[in-house]
Amino acid sequence: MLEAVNLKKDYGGHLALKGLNLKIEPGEIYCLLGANGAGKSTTINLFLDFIKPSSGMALIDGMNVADHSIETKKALAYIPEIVMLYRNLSGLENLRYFSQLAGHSEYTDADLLGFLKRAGLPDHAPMKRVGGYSKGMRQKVGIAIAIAKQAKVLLLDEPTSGLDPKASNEFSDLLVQLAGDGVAILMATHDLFRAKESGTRAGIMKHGELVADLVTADIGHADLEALYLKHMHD
Amino acid sequence: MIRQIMKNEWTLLSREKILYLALPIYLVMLIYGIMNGTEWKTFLYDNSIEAREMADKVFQSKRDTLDKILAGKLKYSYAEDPRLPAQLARYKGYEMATKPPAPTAAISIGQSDVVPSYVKVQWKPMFKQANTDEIENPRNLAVGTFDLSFVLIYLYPLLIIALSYNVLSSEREQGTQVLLLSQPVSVRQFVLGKILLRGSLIIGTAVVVSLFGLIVANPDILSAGYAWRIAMMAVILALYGTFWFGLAVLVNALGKKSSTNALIMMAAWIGLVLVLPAALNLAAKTLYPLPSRIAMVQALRKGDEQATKESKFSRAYRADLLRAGEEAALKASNTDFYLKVLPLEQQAEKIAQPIFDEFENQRQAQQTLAERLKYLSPAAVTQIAFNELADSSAGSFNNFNQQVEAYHDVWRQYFLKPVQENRVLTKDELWNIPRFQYQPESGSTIFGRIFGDVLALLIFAGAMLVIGFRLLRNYSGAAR
Repeated sequence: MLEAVNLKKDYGGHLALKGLNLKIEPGEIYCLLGANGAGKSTTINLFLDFIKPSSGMALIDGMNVADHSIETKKALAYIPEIVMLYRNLSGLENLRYFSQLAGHSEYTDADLLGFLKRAGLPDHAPMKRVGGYSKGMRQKVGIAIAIAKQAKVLLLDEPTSGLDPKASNEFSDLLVQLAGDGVAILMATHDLFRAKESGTRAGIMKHGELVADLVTADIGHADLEALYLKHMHD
Repeated sequence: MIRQIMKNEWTLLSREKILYLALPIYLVMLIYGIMNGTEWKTFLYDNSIEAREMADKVFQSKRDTLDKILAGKLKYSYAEDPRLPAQLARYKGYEMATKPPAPTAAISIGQSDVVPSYVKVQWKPMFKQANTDEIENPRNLAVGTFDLSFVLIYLYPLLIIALSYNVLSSEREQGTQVLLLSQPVSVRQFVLGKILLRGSLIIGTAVVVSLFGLIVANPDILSAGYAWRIAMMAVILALYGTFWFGLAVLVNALGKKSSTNALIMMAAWIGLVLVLPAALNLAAKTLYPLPSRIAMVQALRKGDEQATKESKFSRAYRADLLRAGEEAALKASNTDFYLKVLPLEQQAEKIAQPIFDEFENQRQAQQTLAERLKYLSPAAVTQIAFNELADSSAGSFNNFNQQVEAYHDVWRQYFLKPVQENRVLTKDELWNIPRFQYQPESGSTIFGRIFGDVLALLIFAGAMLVIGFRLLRNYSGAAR
């Protein structure tokens, strides 16, 4: 479970986040929408403890991230916008290493190959060095790393950038499956269509504030887009 | 966890070209350094043996001559009498005082390429035997001999820098850092794992190759009981390497770009390895200048003049007598001459003594200053410690020179007595002329001298690691 309590981030006078309150329960897929610089990545970086909050708390599984950096990282998995891996290692070796770091040294190669397959990596790719991968293939290895971690919380920062529509669609299905397993998912995205399709909730951020918080089932495609654009024009 | 990070680092490193380029070069240089040092040691050893044999031959020929004279096989002539004490002491005989190399001499050539390891001892002042020149190791001015200590002090840090300057910055620059830091592992653990792998590789290679190579090339290290010295060398080079790795951690913790890190590390290398030791040397020489050799020669001449004046003794009269050519005249004049001239020379030296005292004081002051200031640079500390272990330090040569001076006094006293008693040496005396026997400094003396160095290196390395890992705690490179 994921919770932000009055979460603020001040970059030397510039308020990137102005007191965010947000709670994401297991099974929910929360899509954070908003223009560049609205505070979406800041929110995710605060949950990752990559940056420290100016005030307020980011909680994962009830633990304050700022105080329990290592423990909370056991509970979360993260897929950045651009997944960068060790170029001189194969996709499989990258996955194995990150899984070991996550505390899963028990996986066999068959397990690891299974994760890669589930993430949609072509069968010929796992043994090849990542240096030759396309951005989409690296993204898929990143997804496999996240799946393999078996985390309770998934933090995604525009994870489908660079994926073709088919892969993007498969990824959405995967998110729904994971949510079905009880994972709480927070995804920053620009993709209103995906947000509506796979998200259970959506929030619109603007200048560091959550200006709208809604349940996607309650709203149509066109309405979500209209609402988003309305907020952007204000 | 650390083990897995190390294992992964090894896989990554093993796929880098730099490893296959740098490691063999590094190995070849280590081995070449050992071979060069060992060759130098053999050269020193052969020289010391040869020098001593020269003196042996001189003494033996005197004895043989005396035997022949006593057996009546040789017609006696005063000029050929080997028992004449003053002549023997001044020019017919000499001892070669030698400082044979230590079994561990191959570690570092040190001062042994600028300070002679053997000196001819006769009556004349030791100063005139050219052993008191200003100590000036060209190593400090330009890169000198390619021995093991050169490889370890100059090149070994370069390899460490090459493999660790971007240990963390590269993760950030290639983008892997965000995924790494989203795992339940701290930055400090990552850096520790990476540094441990590189450290065991580079330091381990240096230790194993140095120890093994030295022992194979110099088996006398073990048989002479010098094993502790190379063990000590291993400790020192491990600490020196740790210092450079610690510096890499510290620099990486600043969160700068790889290129900036490389620049900082190279500047540190140039400053600590090249500039500072040379600057220390220069500072010591500028603050405590030695009297010039010319001034010392002049002082001796003046002393000679003054002593001659005081004694109202003219050397010229001997030449007149010699012209007579008569054996008896020669004998009489010689005896008389030396009876007067030997004390005269001693008196002259006494008059000139202040400048020699000054020389000694300034040299001591230089050395004391260098001893204190060396703690500014771990490279200087390491070099001096290696020199101590190899018995090629300034301190070791000081000790040798003191022994030579002491022996010089013995030599003079031995021959002065019969001169004063106006007689030739007895057969017994000719057979038992005291010889110079070099006494190497004891292990505990050497250990005492390098103890401070080891401690200093421990502090240097510890400080880098502590500061580096402390800075890493606040490392905020992840969000950038």
